[in-house]
Amino acid sequence: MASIREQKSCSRILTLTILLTSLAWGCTIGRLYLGSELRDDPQDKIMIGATTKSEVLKIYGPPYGVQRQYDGDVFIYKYLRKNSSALDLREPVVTRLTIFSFTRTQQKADSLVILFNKDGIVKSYGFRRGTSELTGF
Amino acid sequence: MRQPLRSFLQILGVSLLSLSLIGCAIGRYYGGSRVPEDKIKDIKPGITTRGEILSWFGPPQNYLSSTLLNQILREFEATEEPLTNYPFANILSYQYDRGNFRGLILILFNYVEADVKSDHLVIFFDENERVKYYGFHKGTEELQ
Repeated sequence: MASIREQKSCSRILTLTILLTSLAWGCTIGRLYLGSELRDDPQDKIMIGATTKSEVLKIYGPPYGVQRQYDGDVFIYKYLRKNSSALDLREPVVTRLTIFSFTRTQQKADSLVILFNKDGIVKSYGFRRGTSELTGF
Repeated sequence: MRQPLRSFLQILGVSLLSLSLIGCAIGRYYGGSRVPEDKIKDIKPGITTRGEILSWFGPPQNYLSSTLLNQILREFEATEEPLTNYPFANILSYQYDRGNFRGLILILFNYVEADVKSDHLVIFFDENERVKYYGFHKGTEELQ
């Protein structure tokens, strides 16, 4: 009697396992790091009306982009990070239906924009450490 | 051990083993030519000419077509713009990109990581075609 009950319980667990594994589900986590981190805080390194373009190039290296305006150049520095997470639940064989799907993507950047006057002296700058706003999942 | 229980445990063992199959993926991307660093110390603002820069470092990046890396990044919606953008005649740019890609691929869980860094030299010229100022950053040494 005990062995019949045991057999039934085993076959139930086995059926449940097969059913669950027949649904393909998976979790994917992605991380992208693009460029070099802006380590130096511009508040410590840049003085408005004094720091030159040459000094900025020495401190931060080549900018990500340069824009030319009528009253001087603009240097753009950027360090980009992208975090993504996804959870998918599918039936892969018969219906190929996606039963549940969840995707979350966060893209943040540390950005520094430096405006120069026509003599190549820093006129103003803006800085945001956007990557600190990234969350884990 | 009873026969049904043993066979159940065997099947469960095989199922668990197949669930925990581990796949690992590693990718490396090298884009562009290395920037000859030994020549950078010879750049003298006010003295070095555009011709000398071109003969030392070759054709600059800003005159070449977009790199494979840019296409990949656009494909993955990371950035639509090129990695660097210098549409001006008095700026020459040299860039060497490296990307390290790592992935852990399990049946139920995947982890993918990409880290892209660049060695980058940018040179500004004055109206007399001489170097005005320049900047160099060696980003690839930050790669793990």
